Amino acid sequence: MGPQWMPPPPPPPASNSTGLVVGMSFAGLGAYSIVNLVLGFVIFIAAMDQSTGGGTGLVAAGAVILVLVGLGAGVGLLLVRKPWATGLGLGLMIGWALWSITTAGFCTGLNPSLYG
Amino acid sequence: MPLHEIFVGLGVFVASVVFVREARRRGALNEQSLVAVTGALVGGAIGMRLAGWLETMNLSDLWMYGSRSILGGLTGAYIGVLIAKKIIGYRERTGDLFAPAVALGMAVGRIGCHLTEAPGRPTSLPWGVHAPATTPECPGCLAGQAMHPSFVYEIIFQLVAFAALLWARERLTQPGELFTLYLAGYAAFRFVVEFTRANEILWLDLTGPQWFLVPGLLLLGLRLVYGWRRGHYAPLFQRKVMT
Repeated sequence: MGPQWMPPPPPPPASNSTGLVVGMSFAGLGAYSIVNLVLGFVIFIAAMDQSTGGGTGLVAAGAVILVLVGLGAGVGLLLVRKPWATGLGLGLMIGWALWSITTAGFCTGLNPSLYG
Repeated sequence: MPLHEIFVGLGVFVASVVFVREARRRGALNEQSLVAVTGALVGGAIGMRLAGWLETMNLSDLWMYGSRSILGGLTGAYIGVLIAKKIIGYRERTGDLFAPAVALGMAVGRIGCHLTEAPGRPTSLPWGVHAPATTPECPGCLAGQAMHPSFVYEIIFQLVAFAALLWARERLTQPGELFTLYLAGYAAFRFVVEFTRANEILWLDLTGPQWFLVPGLLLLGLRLVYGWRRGHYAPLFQRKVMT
C-alpha cells in the first residue's frame, strides 16, 4: 500500500462575503487600469510638449500619483474593514502590481524612456 | 514590440490560472488566498524594482528598468505574502499553492528574456546561439559569438520542476514542503546556471545573483535537513506496491 495523500488542514470556512470581496477586487483592478491608462496618456501628451529632459518631473509625479492611487488608496480601503472596501482595496493594489510587473513601466507613467 | 513585457504578462496570466486551479483543488479558493496573492504581487513588484535599483544605486533605475530582477521579485513576493498573512492573522501555509504556478509562469516569462536579453556567455558547444548585435549589454552579440542559451536552460528546468511538483503534490503530506523543495531546487539551479549567464562578475568569479543566493542556499540547505530528519520527504522515495 503506497502512502496515502493527506489533504492539507481545512481552510477557515468561507464567509458569505467572499463572493463580494472577489467581485469588488475585479472592480478595483478595472478601476485602477482605467486610471493608469488615462494618466499614462495624459503624461505622454504633456511630456511631448516639454523640452528635452523636461518630462522627467512629470513622469515622476505621475508615478507617485499611481502609487498613491494603487497602494495608498488600496491600504486605506482595507482599513475600512467592510467586505466591499476590502475587495476594492485589494483590486487597486493588484492592479498597481500587475501593471508595474507586466509592462516594466510601459503605459503606466513609470518608464521615463518612453517619453525621452 | 515589447516582447519581454508581453511574455512576462503571459507568464503572470499562466501563473494566475495555475494558482486558481491549485487553490480550487485544495479547497483554498477563498478571501485569505486573495490576500496572499495580493501580498505576493505587490511584494514582487516592489522587490523587482528595489533589486534593480540596488544593482546600480541609481534612483532613476527604480522607475525605469527595476522590474527585471526575478530573484528580487521572488524575495519580495515571499516577504509580501508573510506581511499580508500577518495583517489578516492567517496562519496556514500558502506556499504550496504558489509553487506550481510560479514554475510554469516563469517558464513562459523566460521566453521573453531569451528573445530580448543577452543569452549567455560565449561557448563552443554545438547548441550555442547567436543574438542580434543590437541586444543591450551583450559584447558577444556585437562580436558575433555563439553563446549559451541560458534562458532556455531555465525554461527546461522550470518545465521539469512543474511536472515534478505535480507528481510530488500527491505524495507530500506536510504543508509547505512542496514550496520549500521548489525554492531549494530553483536556488541551486540558478546558482549553477549563472556560470552560463552574461551577468557581471563581482568577486571570486561569482556574479551578483550568485552572491545573493549564497546565504539563501545555506538557509534552504538547513531547512531541507530539518525536513529530511523529520521524514517530510520520505513519501517521495516510497514505491507504490501492487496489491
